[in-house]
Amino acid sequence: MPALSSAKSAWFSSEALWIGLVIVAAYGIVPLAGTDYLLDAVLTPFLALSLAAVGLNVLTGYAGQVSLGSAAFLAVGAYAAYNLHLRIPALPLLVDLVLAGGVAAAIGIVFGLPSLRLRGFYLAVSTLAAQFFVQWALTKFSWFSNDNPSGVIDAPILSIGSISFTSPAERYVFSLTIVVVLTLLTLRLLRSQSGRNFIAVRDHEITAKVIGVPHLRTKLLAFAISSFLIGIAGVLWAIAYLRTVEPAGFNLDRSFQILFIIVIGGLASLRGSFIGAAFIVVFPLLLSRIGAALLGSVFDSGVLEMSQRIVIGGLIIAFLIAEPRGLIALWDRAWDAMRPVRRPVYPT
Amino acid sequence: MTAIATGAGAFRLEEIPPRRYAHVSGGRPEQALEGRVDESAKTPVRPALGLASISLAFGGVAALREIDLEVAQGEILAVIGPNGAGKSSLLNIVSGIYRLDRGEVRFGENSFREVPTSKLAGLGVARTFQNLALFKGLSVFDNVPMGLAHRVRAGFLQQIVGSLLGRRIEAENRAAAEEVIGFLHLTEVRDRLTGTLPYGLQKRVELARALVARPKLLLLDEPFAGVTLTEKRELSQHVRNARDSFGAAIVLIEHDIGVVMGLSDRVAVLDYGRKIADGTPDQVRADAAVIDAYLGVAHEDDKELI
Amino acid sequence: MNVMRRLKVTMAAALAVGLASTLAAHADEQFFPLQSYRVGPYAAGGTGFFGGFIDYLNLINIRDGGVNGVKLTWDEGETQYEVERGVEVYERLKSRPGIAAWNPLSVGIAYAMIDRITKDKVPLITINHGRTDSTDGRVFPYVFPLLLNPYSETSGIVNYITSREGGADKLKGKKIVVLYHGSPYGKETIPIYKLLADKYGFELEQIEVPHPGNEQQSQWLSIRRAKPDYVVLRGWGVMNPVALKTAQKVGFPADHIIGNVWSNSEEDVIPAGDAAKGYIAITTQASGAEYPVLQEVIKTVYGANKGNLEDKKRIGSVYHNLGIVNGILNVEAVRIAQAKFGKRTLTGDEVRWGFEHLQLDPARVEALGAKGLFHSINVTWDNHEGDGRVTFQQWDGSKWKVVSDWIAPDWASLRPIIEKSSAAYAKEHNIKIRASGDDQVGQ
Ligand SMILES: Nc1ncnc2c1ncn2[C@@H]1O[C@H](COP(=O)(O)OP(=O)(O)OP(=O)(O)O)[C@@H](O)[C@H]1O
Ligand SMILES: [Mg+2]
Repeated sequence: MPALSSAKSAWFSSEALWIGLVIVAAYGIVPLAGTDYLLDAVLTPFLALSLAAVGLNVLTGYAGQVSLGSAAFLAVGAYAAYNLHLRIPALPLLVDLVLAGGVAAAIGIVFGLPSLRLRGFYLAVSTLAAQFFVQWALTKFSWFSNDNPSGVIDAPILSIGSISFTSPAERYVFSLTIVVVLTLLTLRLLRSQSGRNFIAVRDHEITAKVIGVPHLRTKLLAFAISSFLIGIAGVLWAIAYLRTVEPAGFNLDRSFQILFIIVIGGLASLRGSFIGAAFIVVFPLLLSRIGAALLGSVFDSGVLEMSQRIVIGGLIIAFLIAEPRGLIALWDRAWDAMRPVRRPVYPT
Repeated sequence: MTAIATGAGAFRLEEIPPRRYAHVSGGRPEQALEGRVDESAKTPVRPALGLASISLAFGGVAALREIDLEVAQGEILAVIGPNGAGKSSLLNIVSGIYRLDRGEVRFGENSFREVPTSKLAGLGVARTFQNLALFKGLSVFDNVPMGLAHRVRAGFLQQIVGSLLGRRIEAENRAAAEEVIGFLHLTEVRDRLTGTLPYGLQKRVELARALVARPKLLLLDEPFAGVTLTEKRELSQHVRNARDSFGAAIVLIEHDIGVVMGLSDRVAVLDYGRKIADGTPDQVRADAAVIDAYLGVAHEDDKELI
Repeated sequence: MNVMRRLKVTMAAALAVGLASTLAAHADEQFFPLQSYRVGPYAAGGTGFFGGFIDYLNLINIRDGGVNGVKLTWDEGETQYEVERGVEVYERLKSRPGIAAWNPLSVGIAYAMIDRITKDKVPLITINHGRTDSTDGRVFPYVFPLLLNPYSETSGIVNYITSREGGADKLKGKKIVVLYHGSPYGKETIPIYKLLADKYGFELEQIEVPHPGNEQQSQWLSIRRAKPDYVVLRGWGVMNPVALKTAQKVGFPADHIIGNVWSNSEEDVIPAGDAAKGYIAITTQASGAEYPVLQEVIKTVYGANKGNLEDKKRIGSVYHNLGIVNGILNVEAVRIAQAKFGKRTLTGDEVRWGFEHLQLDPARVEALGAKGLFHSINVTWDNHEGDGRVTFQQWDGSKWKVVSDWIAPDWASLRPIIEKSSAAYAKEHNIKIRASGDDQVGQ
């Protein structure tokens, strides 16, 4: 698994440069390629899913705790933001957003408690409880959807102060800003002692314990941070992207989707989270266009759906077997191939 | 939140003498030892580690039976014995990984029926494992300071923001790690992921991670297994240094009798979970029971040495 | 594969390779973007509904050459009934010229679109579903839950029971059990049933069936204990046939079970086999193919091999007929708007005006060949449901047969509840409530 490059290496400046370039390009896309379709149907959901994948990667990729409950935390974030906005109108939306992340983090800690006892497969099963419980509670208690008849709720208007973000471009910029800020903070956290503790608990829990890593706290912290990020991704998904919240959209399929993103993109890699999310968002759209262009009417929606599942399923198996570090490893290898080797190799 | 562990027995940062590792030299270790013995004569010092009638069984198999053992401060105790004698189990009990059936473990003033593993580092105990137990996903330079993880008390928010105190501690830990990495000749690979290093280097990294905290009690489970003969000599000097420069008590499990006899002040011999001998290297070498149980039979690992 | 589908797909392909601009709509086309679902768990409803809708658009094109010479076009995007796919299709198709209206047939997708279509000024049609309070056109100028909303459905069912019992006074002391699906949709009408129980003095018990509802033994045992006069089945998917089978097992008569609008299709009863015989369900559109408009669809569209249903036996099924009725309503709205704005491609806002004046009395319905298929509609600027009537159909083991008159729900007593909810929405979203139909709409 990739290292957290140490802050002092010569790497840092070139890395900072890259991050800067990507951010500039991301903001530059708006005026350049700003068709509503690209922004609203591709980029905004990509950003929300990326953030969710970053969240899950903190938990599963870095801290080694498997979770199948990501969608539950998306839902908690979305519903919390909705209710905070509704019930405490005085709060600015940005505060709602952070508090919603906090609520998701709190629920994340509760459902992270089994991780103190369980690991691997058993932990994954227990996180399923979060998935089912949250979905059940959100449908069972109509208070969460403000007793709205159909349980589907409409999103509050996105605004910071007097600026409101309503057009697809504005909602994209809003999401982008949130995702950039949170990703950079996450990067900082991962390079701090807490981040190293995550990896220590993942790689060798007993040793981590012996050398004094507060391993229980570390696990719960991973759950909290992860759920916080996923919760905010849920807010973006519901409010910035779909403009509606419905519990059915946060089902187990969504949890798997986020898991697939980090498996395909690369475990324990923030860049991998983004690449994986891009793949999951763009791939079906491309497949349907290409399929329709090549095969004509044979390629109807049934065939499309089937081929999509087959390809994604096949890719996941292929990655798990051949390259567990995901697309990002392929990317890095391709990149390295284009430049001379410069990393010191220990003489053996 | 305090940045420094201040619990009973924990290291205080300000108490740590300036970092200076004695240079690996041919100086006779006994000299340093004699100085220490003089001191303890004036003020009776508790042993760094005391084991009182430890017993442990796995199902029907008794791994350890009624073991009594003491390691004085600044003493190097080697534990030897054939495979399956219970050596690793002993360290696992001392570090709280195995729960003992009967008996008691003492670190200085503190005695335990169940050793709290997560407090070990705070009590000044560090260890290595027989099988590699590194954090493969961290670079060498990130792995080694993990030995000081227990000193970081800043909350995660402070870590993100980078509080002044947090940064100072981080810098201190980094400096300590840098020094140990230098001594153990790991500088060249400091940015490599530990998981990608050859076995011998990984062993070195693990030793570095145990040494970086300057522990009062150092438990080493076959730290020299799988390294070359020259490296073995060098590494054993580093172990000796840990005792000489900051007075660590050391429990060393080692199959290589040559290393054991050269390095240790005292040798304890285990066989089938019993302690069958305990004394200076010379005494143990002459012990009939030991010769029967162990020394008489060439161990597979140390054929070249006997 | 039929020619039309092939043509459409080829068009989509052409679009993909960047030839879209050369295919820009001619001035005389009106475009219907279809967020259809032909795969996934709700494919049966999707293929029927969108099949009927497309069949009707085809009928107008082939028989009449379009609406006053304006050709009707459409393109489909698969949603699988999933909200984000619906949004993707919306964003993909929304820039196409001459969009008349959106018809997603999904509550979730409709919700996601409310902001977007309001901003883009295009009508959103949610026939028989959608959010109840969007009936209030003063707050939701672009949303049209045509014919029926969940509240009026509830009232319609109670009114049917009233007529079967022989008058409102006979309801006193009667007992009704509502068996509802354990989902937001299922629970939506709980307060309305309570309201009507208080009003008419019948005894009411509402029992939840957890999703998906493939095990209902305990619910039906409590129903047997309660000995109700009627059971209202507010089901969804597999819950419906299981309810009917379990009812048979505990000996509850099928003809005293009244299904709601999502429990009224062939797919709901056929799996129950014999147990469904006699079961009654509400509908806004009768099933069967005997109506003139369906005969014309069979003759003109299927005759020209342009029919959309792959299985011709489904012509005249509940969902297919709902699609046909939906087609009639969309086309008539365009026609009405053309009468005001001219016989050309209309903007979304102009079509909205058409929907707000979509008044089809029984005579006009008959002229459209749909007498008996549906009753009438009377949409106004502030009433976007349009007072649709309901009828009741009984399953005879092989097909649905209409067994009641066209019944009017009690709209007057529902309107205040709807207005309360829409007022809250208006406040939350800073929407200025329109005071008349001529008001400038949108933000
Ligand atoms: N976790 C365990 N579960 C069951 N039995 C164990 C366990 N750990 C150790 N044992 C048994 O306890 C006995 C002592 O094992 P231990 O590992 O302490 O031996 P050792 O002296 O370290 O041997 P070696 O020189 O091979 O490392 C052996 O019989 C071993 O099989
Ligand atoms: Mg051992």
